[in-house]
Amino acid sequence: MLLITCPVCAVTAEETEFSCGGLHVQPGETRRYARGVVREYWLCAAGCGSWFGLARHSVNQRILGSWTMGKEPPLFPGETA
Amino acid sequence: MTSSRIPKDKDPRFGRLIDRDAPLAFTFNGKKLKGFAGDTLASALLANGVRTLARSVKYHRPRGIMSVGADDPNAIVQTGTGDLRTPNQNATRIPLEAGLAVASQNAWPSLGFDAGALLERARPLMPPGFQYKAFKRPLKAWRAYEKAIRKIAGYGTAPDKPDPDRYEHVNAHADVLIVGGGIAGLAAAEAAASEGLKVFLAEAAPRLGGIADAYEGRIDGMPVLDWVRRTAAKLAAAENVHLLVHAEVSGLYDHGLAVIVENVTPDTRPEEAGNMPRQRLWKLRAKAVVLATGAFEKPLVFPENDRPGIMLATSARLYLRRYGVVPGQKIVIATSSDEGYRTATDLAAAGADISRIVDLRIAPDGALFHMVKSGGQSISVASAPVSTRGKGTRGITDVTIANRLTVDGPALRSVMSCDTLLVSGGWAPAPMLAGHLGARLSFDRELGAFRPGDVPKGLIVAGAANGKFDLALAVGDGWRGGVEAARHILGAAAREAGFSAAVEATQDDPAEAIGSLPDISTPEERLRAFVDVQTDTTVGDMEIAVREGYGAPEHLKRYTGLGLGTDQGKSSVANAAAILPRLGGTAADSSAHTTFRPPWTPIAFGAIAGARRGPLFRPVRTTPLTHLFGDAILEPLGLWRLPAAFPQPGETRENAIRREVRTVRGGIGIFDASAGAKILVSGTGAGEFLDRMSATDVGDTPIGTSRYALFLNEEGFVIEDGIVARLREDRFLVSTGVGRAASLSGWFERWHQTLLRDLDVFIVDETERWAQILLAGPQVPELLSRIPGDIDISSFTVDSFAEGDVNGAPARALASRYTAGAEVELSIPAGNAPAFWNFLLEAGRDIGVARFGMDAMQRLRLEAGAFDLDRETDGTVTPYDLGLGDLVSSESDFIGRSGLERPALTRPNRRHLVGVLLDDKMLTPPPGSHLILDPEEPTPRRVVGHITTSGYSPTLRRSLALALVSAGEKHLGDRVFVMMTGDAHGAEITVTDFLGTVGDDA
Ligand SMILES: [Zn+2]
Repeated sequence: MLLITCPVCAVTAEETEFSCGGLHVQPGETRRYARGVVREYWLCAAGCGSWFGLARHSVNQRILGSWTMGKEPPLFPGETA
Repeated sequence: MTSSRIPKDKDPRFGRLIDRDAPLAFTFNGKKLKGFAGDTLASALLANGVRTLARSVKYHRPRGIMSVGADDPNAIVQTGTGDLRTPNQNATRIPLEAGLAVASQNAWPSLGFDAGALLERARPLMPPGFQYKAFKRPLKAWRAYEKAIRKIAGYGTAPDKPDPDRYEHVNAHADVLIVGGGIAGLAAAEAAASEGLKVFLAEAAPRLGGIADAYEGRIDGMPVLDWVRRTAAKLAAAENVHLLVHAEVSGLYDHGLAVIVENVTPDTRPEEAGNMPRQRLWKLRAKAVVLATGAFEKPLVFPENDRPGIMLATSARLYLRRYGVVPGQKIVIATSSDEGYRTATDLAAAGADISRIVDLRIAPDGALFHMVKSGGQSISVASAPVSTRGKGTRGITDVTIANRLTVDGPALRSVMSCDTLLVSGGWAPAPMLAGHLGARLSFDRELGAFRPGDVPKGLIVAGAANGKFDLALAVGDGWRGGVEAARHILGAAAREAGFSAAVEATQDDPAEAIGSLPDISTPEERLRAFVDVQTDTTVGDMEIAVREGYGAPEHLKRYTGLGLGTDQGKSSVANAAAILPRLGGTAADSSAHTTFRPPWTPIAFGAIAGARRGPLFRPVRTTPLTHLFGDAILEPLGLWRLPAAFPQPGETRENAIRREVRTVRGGIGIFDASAGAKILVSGTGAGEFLDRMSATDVGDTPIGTSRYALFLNEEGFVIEDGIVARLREDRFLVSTGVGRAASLSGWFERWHQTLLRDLDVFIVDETERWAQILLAGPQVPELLSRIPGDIDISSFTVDSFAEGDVNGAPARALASRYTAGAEVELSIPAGNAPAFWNFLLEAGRDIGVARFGMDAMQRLRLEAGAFDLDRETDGTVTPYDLGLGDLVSSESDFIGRSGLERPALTRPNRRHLVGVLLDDKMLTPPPGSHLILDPEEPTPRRVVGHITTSGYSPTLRRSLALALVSAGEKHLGDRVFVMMTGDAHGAEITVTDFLGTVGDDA
């Protein structure tokens, strides 16, 4: 069970307070779930109601960072452009 | 002789946990027995000479208590009766209570006379993997076998009534979680607490100290047990330490989450007396976790090693020291570690006859060995047990010993009579909880057991769980664990003080990793050499599995059942890993164990559910009108409870549905549609936004009118349908069908915040603000004319929309089209709804206004051939499949457009929604019924589609059905057959608009 911090309202809460919206893809881009860093949409469902981006390692579940919508996400360690 | 309690004044060291002045009566299989306060169920049963507790799962061999702890594979019992019955409990973990009623499992029809034991003779019928090969065909025969096998091999009886106990959930946070309160765990807690960290320690047993009471020695100048007491008191007094006893960590999860199940008893929680939950489930988040989970003593694997009266050596010592119980009077000890000598010393002091110590090691040379030997004890070194004999449920009667160094032969074997055989194969660390976080343990050949291996950051394994078994090593390694946890959290700020106390203890001679001796046994004997006693898996079974190609650990587990029991192979995983490579299976390396999964020990469903049961299981959504529907049949739809029908006294549900349908078709009905979504979309970008969201062009809807629209997901499948009305230039209202209020506004919001962020749009979900009342039927204009207000509905056409005042309150009116008849949906403020509902019933009394429910609504829609999102679409249906291609915009770049253009979604043989009319007009095929083309075709026949909705139409006086059929649009008028319980019924494929095409010719 992940512990997630919302980059919009800054609340840190259990995964069940959020809702995962699947892979974060730009229009025209195709990405698949893979071992390693994955970028996803998440919704601060029980909090401020904002969608945001989250980078998560799909094997060790470490969270590498998050970003608000409209911002260009950085390249996270272990990620290839 | 059998196990018994030693007299009171024999030796003050023995029986330290029991209170002989507080006898407790309990029953075992109906027999009245007596124990003492402080006993566990297992110790009390042993004290009463109970040798056999259960029958084994597969071969129904009699089994007795083998261990003092959670690793015991046999002592599985059920306690309580009726609604309090709890199956699959380990007798070693149950504190004895007055009046406890205990029953054996797996002993049908009874423990003593057991028809199932006959199974052993039929053993060739149940080889490893029999479940895969023996009963596959014919299928019907397997069902009969399964029933019989389950009855004999069942794991207890599930309670048949709701659990009357209360369970709680608690969330907690800590810096460091210490799992296990033995000496390593206590030292770790002390070290971490001294760094100022918030420490949480959970111990599975009702008291701290682990198995420290099995050892002599001194820490910090005081006897081990005194050190335990002093440290526990010190930790209990510290403000930054939380001690939890009788609380098992059942699982470790990502990001430091631990699930802990605390057994709440008057002994551990006296302050809660009177209002006590049975268990409390802790969800604890910790920044670091120290596993000080100890070790399990390994049994020895040899032929006939599973009889009652065969017990682990250290367990026997602990039963004596804690509860004053000796396992027998004539004892042989077979050991490959020094534990056998410690136990021999104790049992001799308690008056038992130790006939011989059989040491598997070639040349034992430890202090304990020499001490016992010089006392005159008969010892055979380099020897091993190779077989036992016994008398059924009375257990072992003799053991055969052979010399390991000489060539096998009868003369070199000796038979010794005994009533008890104590075994020790050395220790196996128990860091299995690390496996919950994906860690693979590594196999240590020297040790003949798994060590922690690579564990994730923030997880530290310490003490015996880390392979540090001796007292001095264990306590020092525990302290190191606490310091490492502090370093993980504090980094450079950690003080990292060393462990300073002096430890005096005997250092054990290393155990030899023997495990099993298949090399000196015959194949028949190996079939009776048990590796996993709980699942009845033997060396011979493993041999067969390897021979048949299932030699990898995960295969072996499924094929033989090894490690699949409720004990998760606690007593067998190390021995199995040592034996497997010798049989030619996969070599024991870091990946050679099966995956350890939560829960580590079985936990009650009640603990998982907590307070979320009964009415608290899920919240129930109600509409502003639900409380008026006490006479209706209410049914769940999502979180809603909605009226399915309003049966009058004496009316069946089906009759009520037909009456309600007739009322709507011939007069007027009113329907609570409040459970549909009302979403207000406004802003200068509202029209463009909705054009992107909807597959249908809606942005140019004229003000004061509405359009029916479809909403797709990115793949091009229909996820919603609804009506989009334009209120003003920059304001739209989207309404959906009943029961789906939550999803569409969330979907809008998601795209508004992500891809469509630049549009000037505001989304307001108004669902809770309005009550929706649908008026349907030819008398609608008449009823509306009787409602005071300024909305002029007389000029309404099929897509009209108006705002105004109705019955003294602001309202919206929409010409909707759910039932394919005259219809108006009124939205009024939620608070005004009950009064308005009653006003409508009163105002329309003379024209026969009646309420109708979801069932009638569905039947009305079926008559019109209108699709129902919850029935016809399953997430794989496109607008074209529904025959609604006209609604798809040819211009706009809506969500789902590119998905919809994929070749697979435009293939001509996709399933289309069509009507199906059976030749037998009164026959209603249930949804899901298959459609075939030719009943003469041999099975398996080709299925061309399935029924999605069906029901009797009172209007057309025949049954109707909708179906999804391959290329259905091309087969209108064709014959098809509907399969119902094996029979084929002829039918015709038709268009879906039944009202417009089917004549009422009845
Ligand atoms: Zn938030």
